[in-house]
Amino acid sequence: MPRQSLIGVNNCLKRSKRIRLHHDSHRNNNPMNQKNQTYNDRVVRQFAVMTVVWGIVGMLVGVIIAAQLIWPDLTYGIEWLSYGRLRPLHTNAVIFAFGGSALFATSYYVVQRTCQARLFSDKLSAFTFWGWQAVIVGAAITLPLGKTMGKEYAELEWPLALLVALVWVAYAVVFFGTIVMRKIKHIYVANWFFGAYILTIAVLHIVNNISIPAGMWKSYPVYSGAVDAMVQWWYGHNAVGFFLTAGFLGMMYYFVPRQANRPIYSYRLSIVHFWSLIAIYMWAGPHHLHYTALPDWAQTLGMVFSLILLAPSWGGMINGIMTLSGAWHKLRTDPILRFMIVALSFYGMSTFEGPMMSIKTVNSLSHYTDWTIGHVHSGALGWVAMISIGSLYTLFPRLWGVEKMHSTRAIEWHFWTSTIGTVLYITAMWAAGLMQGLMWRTFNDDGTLTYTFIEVLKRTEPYYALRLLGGVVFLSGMFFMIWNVYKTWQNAPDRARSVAIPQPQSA
Amino acid sequence: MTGGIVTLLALLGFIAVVVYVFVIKRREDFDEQARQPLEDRDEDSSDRRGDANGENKP
Repeated sequence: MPRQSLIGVNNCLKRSKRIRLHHDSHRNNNPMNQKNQTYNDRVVRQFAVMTVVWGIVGMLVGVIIAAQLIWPDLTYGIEWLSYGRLRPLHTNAVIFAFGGSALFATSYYVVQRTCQARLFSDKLSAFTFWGWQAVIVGAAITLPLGKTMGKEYAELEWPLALLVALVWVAYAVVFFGTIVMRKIKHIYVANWFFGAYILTIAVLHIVNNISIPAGMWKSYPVYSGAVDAMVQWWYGHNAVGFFLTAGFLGMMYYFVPRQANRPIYSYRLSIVHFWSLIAIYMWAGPHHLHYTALPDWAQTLGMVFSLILLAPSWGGMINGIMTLSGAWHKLRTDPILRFMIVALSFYGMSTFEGPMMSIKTVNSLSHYTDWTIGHVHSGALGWVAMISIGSLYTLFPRLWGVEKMHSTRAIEWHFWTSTIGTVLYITAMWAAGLMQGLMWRTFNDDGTLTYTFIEVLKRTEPYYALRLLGGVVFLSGMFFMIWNVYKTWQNAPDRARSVAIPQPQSA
Repeated sequence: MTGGIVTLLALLGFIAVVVYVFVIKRREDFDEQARQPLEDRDEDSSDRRGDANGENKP
């Protein structure tokens, strides 16, 4: 059968203007030539494995702080382990350590495969790996110590923020350098999304972190007042839009077609999707600041752009899901594909919920309640984590040269724990959030509040327990994954193999 | 005034992308580009991966 597929590929290429693949380019054992004729999968393997490790760490901290909301004395009042210090550790670990490592691994893999070129520089890509790990370890030390800028998702103090900027510039050089060295004329759509994410995050991170150091672990932002808030949420929402959306859409555009073994539903739609998504996301940030000191027109602008954002978001979701059109039966047997399709469904759901919550009247009910936390986690667990996990299950066997993961059954278990965990989590937070919002806005005839804060908190407790359960169930799935990854690695005959780049031939 | 101009330019930009993608570009070019992920086969292990590769190609 592989022969036949190669003939198919060959016929397809003959019609094209593209460079023909040389089918017989098996591994080149000559060490002199090997470097430039193989892909750099070492750094991909490193990031892929660390994704699983940081996933467990970050989600475990999440479970601990969820438990602290029920049992406030859980950590015996030790200040380093208090809720206020662990919460930024949780968000940084899951977004930047888990999500970031997944993005590094997949973008490095995808850019090499779709450009048929080795990563631009081995040294720089190794620097991005070790630099990024250093940032994570630095965050894990400084955040519990209370060293923070106090800006949400941008807590790291200036020495670490500086290291992030350095790593990110190196990342951009490696990624775009590889695209420049490509042997394929066209730049595949996944690389457009990865490219937009890398460029935008560089700009966002640097602008939002401009500050005046006042000692080694203390600094003050150059912005103040409403401008500071606006810059922070321009950063914050575009971190959602470009880090947690565009980057993972790049992953989706490569790994869904590859796992389904079908081309993307509409390549045309993917281009319209890309340009409209990046143009609109940039303006949605002010919806985080409804009914604050931010000028009213800016709030309305943020709301309008958030509403328009529904269109490109759903365009992308439909494009991903419809890739399976005509092959739905694959979902029955392939839990990896199921991970990806359920991820896209959660993506569709949270990108509907988001615009709805950005409407000012809805926001006046939902803001500052646990509904927001539910919304974030339907995106973070349902979309970001599940698309990453699915993509990694596609990636690991290929990185270690085996046919598939050690246990499909464990993937099956992981799929169900992830799905059930996410659903438990978000339904608990929806119910809690609606209840809180309604109780907070109930007044007596004389204009005083009907419910005290503590009364609302008391009623929220059962939902917090349900949320904790959802988190524990989701986390448990990650242990199936790490076991499965270890067994796959253990049984791989050639763990450090290098894959040959198809060599061009004069057509 | 400036707001109106910027909105108009954004709308024209969107229409330009749609026209370029759906009218000017040829369908075959896109079909070929869309197949790119399917052609990566990490060749030296393809002998072990079996027939999953050839399945379901239209």
